[in-house]
Amino acid sequence: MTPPPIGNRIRRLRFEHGEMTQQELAERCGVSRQTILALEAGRYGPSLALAFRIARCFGVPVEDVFSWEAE
Amino acid sequence: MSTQQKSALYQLIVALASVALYAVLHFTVSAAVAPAAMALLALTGAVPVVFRHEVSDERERYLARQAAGAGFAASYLFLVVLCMGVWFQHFRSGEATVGIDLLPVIAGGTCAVALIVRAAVLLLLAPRALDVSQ
Repeated sequence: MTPPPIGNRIRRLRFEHGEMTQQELAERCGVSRQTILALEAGRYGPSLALAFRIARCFGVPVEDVFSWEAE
Repeated sequence: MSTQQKSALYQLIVALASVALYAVLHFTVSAAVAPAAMALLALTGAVPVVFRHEVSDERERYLARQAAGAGFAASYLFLVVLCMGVWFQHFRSGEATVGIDLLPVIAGGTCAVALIVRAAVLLLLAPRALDVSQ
């Protein structure tokens, strides 16, 4: 199974937002810490709804968090 | 390890233990007593009590769906192959009917395969690459 071609800046955004922990972000987005961990490691492609929830947590557009890296 | 993975590991151990006990009873006691080992599978019923799942997010639901699909496919294949094997064996030996004593073995074996494959797939997929859009 190949990793999804979706890059993200979650780790950087967490640190830019007061060094937010993975657990805090997970609680705000309504997912488990393991899911945030998998997202940051690029091992999991989120649903559109989760992508928007994460972007909303950081107060940025979704394209500032996720990027398509296939091409 | 998440609660989902702990639960899968518990189910895998219980299912493998029941299969191992079946084999031991079959070869040391008798084939008639061996299906009693399948009663061990009932221990998997304790999963919702022992492993209380507080957070179930989209990734966990995706993993569960993939694992359940694999478990169902494997158990269905096992059931078909086993039934065909039983039928072929009886056909070759000229027997017209199949003994009812085979039913617990077929049913228990199918359940065990479903549990083992489901749990194993979940444990394998959890730390690996996943993409819900695939």
